[in-house]
Amino acid sequence: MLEVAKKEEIEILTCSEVESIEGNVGDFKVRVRKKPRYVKEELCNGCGACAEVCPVLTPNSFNLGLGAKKAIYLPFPQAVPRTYIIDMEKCIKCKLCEKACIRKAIDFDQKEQVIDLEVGAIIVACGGASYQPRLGEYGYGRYANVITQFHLERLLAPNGPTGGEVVRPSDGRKPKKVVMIQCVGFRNRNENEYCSNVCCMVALKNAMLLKQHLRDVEVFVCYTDVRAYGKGYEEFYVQAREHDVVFLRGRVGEVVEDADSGELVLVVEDTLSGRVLELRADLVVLSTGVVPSDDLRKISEVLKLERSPDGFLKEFHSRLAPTDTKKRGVFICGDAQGPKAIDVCVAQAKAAAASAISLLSAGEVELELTTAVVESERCSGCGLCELVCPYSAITVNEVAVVNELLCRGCGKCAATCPSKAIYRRGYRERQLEAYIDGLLA
Amino acid sequence: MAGTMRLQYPATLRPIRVPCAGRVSADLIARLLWRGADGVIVVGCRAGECEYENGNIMATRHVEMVQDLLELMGIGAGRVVMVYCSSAEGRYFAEETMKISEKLRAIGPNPLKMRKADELGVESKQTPNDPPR
Repeated sequence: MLEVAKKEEIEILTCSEVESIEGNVGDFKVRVRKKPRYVKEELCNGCGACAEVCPVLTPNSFNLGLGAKKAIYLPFPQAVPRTYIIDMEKCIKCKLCEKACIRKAIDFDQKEQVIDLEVGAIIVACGGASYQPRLGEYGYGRYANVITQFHLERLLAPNGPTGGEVVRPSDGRKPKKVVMIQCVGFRNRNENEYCSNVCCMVALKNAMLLKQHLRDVEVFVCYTDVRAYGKGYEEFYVQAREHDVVFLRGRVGEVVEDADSGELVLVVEDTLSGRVLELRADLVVLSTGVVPSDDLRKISEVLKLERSPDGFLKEFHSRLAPTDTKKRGVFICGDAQGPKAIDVCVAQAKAAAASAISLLSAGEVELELTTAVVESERCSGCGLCELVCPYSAITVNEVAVVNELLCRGCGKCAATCPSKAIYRRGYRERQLEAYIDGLLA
Repeated sequence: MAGTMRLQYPATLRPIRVPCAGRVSADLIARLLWRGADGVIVVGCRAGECEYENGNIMATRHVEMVQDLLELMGIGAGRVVMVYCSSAEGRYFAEETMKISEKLRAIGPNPLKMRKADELGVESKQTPNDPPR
């Protein structure tokens, strides 16, 4: 991300939302609303003097509430740009930060900005969101020591809230037994039907990290399938088993807390041995997955992009064009199209970028001669064609006019026109007549 | 697909290719019957599978329109049939068209078979969408 920020040709707009997009490929008009940070980006150097004097402590959302941040903060340690931002809802306006900032970068009067951009192509890479287990799902939200893999990763991170120490949220003690539950929120009809792709490998990775961080920790993984399909993945799974990570094939039925010992008690059927087991654990980690984010919903409405049944953005063709969309000039990549591992995200990002580049460097769009044509002398302006066109490609004022960029050549307009004033190239009435002549001679 | 799979479908079936079943207008179907076809089968994609969103729905409406007209005229709605089939379903296409062909054989030939314009000694008018003279 730092490399991207350094390039002069790339402009990064943070704290911004795309409000509307009009126009067509080569000529999109994008309106962006940039929310105020209350800190001047040109002046702030990320020194942190402001945060040191800020008296307000508030839960750190990057650490998923496991740590605190000040009202003026850096979103996360590697944030680009390295510019502080004030959470105005928590700020008490004591203005101590303003006094502490030697570069005079703090600006409580900073206003929202509207930025209008003209672009030729658009790539949507807004990512996904992490699934939030329901209250009580496997004890989540009820017992402090039931967390998700995302929480565990923050505990494992050296720059996380505990400096890389994995501890139980309830009492800060190191866990001796950790149970991971796979497929939480996925692969079922009640929540999400799809498989979230990455959670098996995340669990394996975190299980191995736990073995490194905590000597003698016992790690159990309760799984439905272990989906280790990628390069080096199966070998990693074997390695995890060699490091005594125990894999139990079965869904966990229930998680309750033993009030006396503070342990969590799980009931799981080990389908390979046919026994029902009771597991006692210090920490339960739910492997949840990726769901479409609210941003994704918003952008799909702004751009009028379709979504697949699982809620992610719909690709033009799942096999042959996974980064294209039905809208010419709009590309998608990464988790916005569906949950996937980092290597596939990168491959898709490169594909989308390459598609955008080849589109823009050509300077023109090549259309196939499969569009509709209006014979304006015959057109009465009745507007029936405009109504039936599924792509809103026809506008009728006095006569019908076809937008050839939007027309996909289905021919419905030609079938509907009472005057036969509009025809679909290659399938004119006369051409079909000739066809019929030959067939019924 | 039926062809590449070397499946038998009626020898009397004459296919007309269109970009989408939605291109098939009611008057096109009617004209086929006027010109002497004993039956017209409109093949469209299955529900929810139309590449152009709703072409199969439009085609169904056009077929139903013509069927109503044929009923009124006493020619019989059975001469025009709507079939939902994907381009990958070679076997289904072959079986369905065979079944329909049998039914049409039972109904009998088209009473509307009209003689060609030149037989009647009438000059054929220029049809729509001709390039200007």
